[in-house]
Amino acid sequence: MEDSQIIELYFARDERALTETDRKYGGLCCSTGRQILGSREDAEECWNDVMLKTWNKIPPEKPLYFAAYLVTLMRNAALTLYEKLHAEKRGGAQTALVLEELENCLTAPDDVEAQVSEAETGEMIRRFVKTLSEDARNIFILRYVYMMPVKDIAERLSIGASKVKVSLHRSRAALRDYLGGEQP
Amino acid sequence: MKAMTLLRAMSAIDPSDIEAAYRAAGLHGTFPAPSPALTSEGTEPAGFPMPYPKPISAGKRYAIGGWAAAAACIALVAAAGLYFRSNDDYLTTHSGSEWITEITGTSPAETVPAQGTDDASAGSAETGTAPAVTVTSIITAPPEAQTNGTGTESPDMSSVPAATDHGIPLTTVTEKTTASTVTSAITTAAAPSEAAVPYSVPALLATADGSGTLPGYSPDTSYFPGEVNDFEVIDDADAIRAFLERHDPPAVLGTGRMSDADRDAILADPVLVHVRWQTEDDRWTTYGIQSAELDASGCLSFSVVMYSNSAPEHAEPWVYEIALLCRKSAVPEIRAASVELHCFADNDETGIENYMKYLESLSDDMTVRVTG
Repeated sequence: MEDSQIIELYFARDERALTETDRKYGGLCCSTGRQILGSREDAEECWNDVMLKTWNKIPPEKPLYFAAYLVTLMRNAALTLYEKLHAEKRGGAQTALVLEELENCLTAPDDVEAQVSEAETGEMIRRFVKTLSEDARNIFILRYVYMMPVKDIAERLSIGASKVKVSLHRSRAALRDYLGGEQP
Repeated sequence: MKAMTLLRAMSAIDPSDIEAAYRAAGLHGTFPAPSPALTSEGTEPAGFPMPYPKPISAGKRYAIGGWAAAAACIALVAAAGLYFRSNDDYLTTHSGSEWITEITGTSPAETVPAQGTDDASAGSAETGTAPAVTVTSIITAPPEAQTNGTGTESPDMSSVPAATDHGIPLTTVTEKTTASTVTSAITTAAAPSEAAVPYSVPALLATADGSGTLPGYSPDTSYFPGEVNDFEVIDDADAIRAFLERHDPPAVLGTGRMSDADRDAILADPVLVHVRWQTEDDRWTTYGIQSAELDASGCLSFSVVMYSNSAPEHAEPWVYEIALLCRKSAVPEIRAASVELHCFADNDETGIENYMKYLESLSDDMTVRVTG
């Protein structure tokens, strides 16, 4: 079923919208959640939350890119749960690795003055990603939005894992420079 | 700013870009997740069971061994001379019709002038000039490198390989890093018909990437790290094209080290020498090929520089593959292959940076697509 048709079901308050959403994107979102949380059960819990949230948000929202919309909701929910579980010393998977990678992108010390709001950072990253080449952008997003392991990205894009790693490294270096230049 | 803030902020990436990556990776429709609890009439969202592929069993994950653990502490440089001579067996047991496994041709002395001018050839010159050879020493390191005991010396990663008119890029690290090179011998069953004068094999590096466990290749603990356990020669144009199309970009090479004539000759009449081996230790990412040469006994030997970081996801057996795209007439009859591995280990991003530095030092990287 096309995304537009699924969204029409949401607008019609037809519960088949949930069925179709789960059928089409449940696996993808659960995969993303599992990469963040390291647990299938936790990912499913998040996905349930996301489904409910989607049901409540649509309408009035009408996402133009439904897959991206769901994945974004999913990763936000999973990251929130990750932080909660991390405080309890649970969870992990790709998140620890990704956080370690991103540490190198930070240009300022972690003090109050240097902190930039998440919204501002988000806007900077949104602009930064536009500066990347298409290939680099896809690799970057698959790693840091979909949280896919390097190996999986390589397989998905039919390229070598080395190329993925090199691309990510370059992108992170560029992001570090970009954030350094953008931050006040 | 914290890394988590940064990670969370990734959600602000333009949805169209997220969607584009989703489509580029072919994720569409690849995660079918029909929920058994759902019916066409729909149910409440809470409590959906979410089917998901079973994770890789823990049994397939290997702890980093002591050798690799040591590598995490220091920049370890190790080299192992390895050989195999299973080609004859392979030729007799391989039943695939498409994968051409026998290359017949005229002797190298008739078709390819002996060059022997690169480092690797120099290193083996003392055995290469024997008029009749039944035992060929595979030595790609100069003698002094084997005696100075500098086995743990760090490589000069920033050095730019010396350009040669023929052969494959990456030619310089050997002298500084192969103190522990093991010289292996290959005894060929058949007497060579020509003097064993090693010569460089003009070749394009089609792939050099430990990019994943190949289908059908199960890790076998009987292999020690780095042993070559398979190779094949492919000269079917469609098969070559299919192989290269699975690797995008399929070939990266320093064209500054190869003449246009050589490159064109390869592309006009290509043959793919595809070598695979596997390790039981953590993954080593293929770093590049230092040299390749073929002697008259039919032994293709090349040395590979490898790099590893210690990311946990790579701490598992790994199949490596290297593919050399050569001119068919320059490959008379491959009877055996030998790979010499030079492995570098580091435990942080320095390794990657060095790797990049080295990549960037190569001139005129290009992508090759073969349409032959």
